[in-house]
Amino acid sequence: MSRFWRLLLISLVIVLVLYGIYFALGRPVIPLPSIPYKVSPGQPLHSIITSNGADQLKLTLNTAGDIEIVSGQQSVVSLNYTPETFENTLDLGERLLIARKIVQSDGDGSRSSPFLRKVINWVIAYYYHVIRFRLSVLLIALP
Amino acid sequence: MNKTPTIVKLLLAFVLVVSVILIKQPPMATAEIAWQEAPTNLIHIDVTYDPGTKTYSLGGYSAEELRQVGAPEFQDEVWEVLGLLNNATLRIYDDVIDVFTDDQPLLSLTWDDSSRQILYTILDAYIELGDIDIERAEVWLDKADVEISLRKSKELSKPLDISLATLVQLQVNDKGALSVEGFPTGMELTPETLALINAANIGNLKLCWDKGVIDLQVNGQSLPRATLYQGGLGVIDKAFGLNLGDLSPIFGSRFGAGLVFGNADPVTGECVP
Repeated sequence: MSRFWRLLLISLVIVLVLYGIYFALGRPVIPLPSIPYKVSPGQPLHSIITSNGADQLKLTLNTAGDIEIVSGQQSVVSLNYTPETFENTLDLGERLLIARKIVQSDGDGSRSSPFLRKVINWVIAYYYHVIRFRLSVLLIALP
Repeated sequence: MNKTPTIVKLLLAFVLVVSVILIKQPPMATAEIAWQEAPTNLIHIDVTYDPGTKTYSLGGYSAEELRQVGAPEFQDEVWEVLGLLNNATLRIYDDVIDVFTDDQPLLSLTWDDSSRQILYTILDAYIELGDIDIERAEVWLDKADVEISLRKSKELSKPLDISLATLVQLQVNDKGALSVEGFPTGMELTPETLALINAANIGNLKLCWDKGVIDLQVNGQSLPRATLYQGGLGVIDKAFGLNLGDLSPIFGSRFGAGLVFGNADPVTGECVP
């Protein structure tokens, strides 16, 4: 066996072993660093962020199926999705967008490519079932 | 050549270990289904009134809050009658209607399908909104647990207690007119909204509200479950100046609605948590 194939096989085994451990641990959500985003006065989001006195709003995406908006320590709204319900939402959103085009321009709207939709659904399903991350954006209101 | 079989063995061992782990995972489909009580249409409304000030509180809302939303004011004759009572309760459950005044039973009626038919005929004759859908009325009454209590008191009434197993059926006809359980409401969708719904091919919606948890289906397809937090809604209220007031009664309630556009299929099922 050549050196290349041996290295490839060893790498594959290491990846499989690591994923086996991750799977055995119950596929815990891997937290990623929070992304800060500063919002200046006058921007539409500013009044929402400052309304609670906390001056910050945190949007968290957990790819295991949760999206949550927290103002200070107070949860505002959370969404629980599955790949199926996510797909349904995308489908509905697309249909409403096309419908709006049809109604406003009295014309015809075309749907996005089925391949693109499948890719999106695969990505959502992959991060839902296989490996899970938690990503958050912290919106900070500037004084 | 000596190392290759070792790697293969390692790979096989790994596959074996993963297989064992997978086999040990509890089967998801065998989740225990909790026993649930027979679903009812529970509506408990508490009303407190003060004949002195001629004000009343309903379902946890103060007289001031009710006035803001355009709640009707009673005529003097009604206040005179109420002033004579300390309390009165109307209760409808199973096949019985009970009325109590001042903690004493005033009357108890037992009704069945045939006696209800007479009632429907009378109501049809006197209500100008349209004929009662007897099938729907029976669905509602079959599971009814309704209690309306009037109490002479200056204190705030108890919060509304609403838990409806039966879906409220809403219908929007081809012209956009909205009816509830067959009764026209006088409200209409704008032609633009109706055109948008038709163009998006939306036939029906099913909405279930369970103490802040919202489940929505569009054309039978489920959307992500949303959870609204009462404290969080206060944030939105402040941000947009909505002046929503006290939403505790809503956040303590369960109900669902099925909305059908045009001649689309009706929404079936219940909103049992």
